[in-house]
Amino acid sequence: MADLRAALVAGLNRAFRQSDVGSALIEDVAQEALLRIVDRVGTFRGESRFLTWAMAIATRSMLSHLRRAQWKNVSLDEMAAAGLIPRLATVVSNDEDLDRLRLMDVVRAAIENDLTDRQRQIIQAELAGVPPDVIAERMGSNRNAVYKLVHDARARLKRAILAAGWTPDSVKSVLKGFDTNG
Amino acid sequence: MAEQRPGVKALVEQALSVLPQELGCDSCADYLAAYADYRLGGRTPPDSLKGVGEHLDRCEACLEEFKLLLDAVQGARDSLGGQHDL
Repeated sequence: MADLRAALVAGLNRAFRQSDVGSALIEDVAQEALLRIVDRVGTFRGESRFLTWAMAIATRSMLSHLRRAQWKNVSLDEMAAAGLIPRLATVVSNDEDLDRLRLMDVVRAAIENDLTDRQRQIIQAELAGVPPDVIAERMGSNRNAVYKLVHDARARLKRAILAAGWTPDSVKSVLKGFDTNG
Repeated sequence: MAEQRPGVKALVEQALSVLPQELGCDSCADYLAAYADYRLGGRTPPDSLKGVGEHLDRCEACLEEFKLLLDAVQGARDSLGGQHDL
């Protein structure tokens, strides 16, 4: 047990070395993960090495902790508002900019008109950078259910983009501009 | 220059690459350790784990978790003197 705990601490230190995580938090999360591992050890199916399985539990615990802390005191409505795609500038300097404006218009209109309220809220929260586990927590749901809503919303956005006359290739070409100008 | 916001490009790419059936995040997490072991061993994951790879291609949050897991496992192994398991 001491070896496992030490390995969890070492693993968390390595994975989160670039985050602002103190050693006290690492120790706390490792201890919390250890209890969880003991509690769930009967569900270990042997599909991976035990160490990898245990480390996955510890990594998820730390990530959840950091994500919850980052979005603490922010409501789902506020998250969604932060992800609104703004109306775009109408003055453009070239055809590439115009194409990007047109594509953004299609995406914004599809988010506004083609998604359910729940789908819109989640997609906008994702655009604001909110991870699905935080969204799920705010919704009193789980990550699978949130991902299903995201999946269905993406399918509707795809239909809207294609219905507006875009092809996968033409979208890809415009998206290249995002890399250089976005 | 047209205004853009971060994440819109990813959203459009994810929309266009949507599959009829995809694993959810919790289901992906269930198999993440097994998938990680294949990747850490430099082996191609079997077809039974194909859905994990597809999900990671479309979910930035799970991809972040996966990358951290790879790093964490390496750190844990190093602490055990290179042992791959307890």
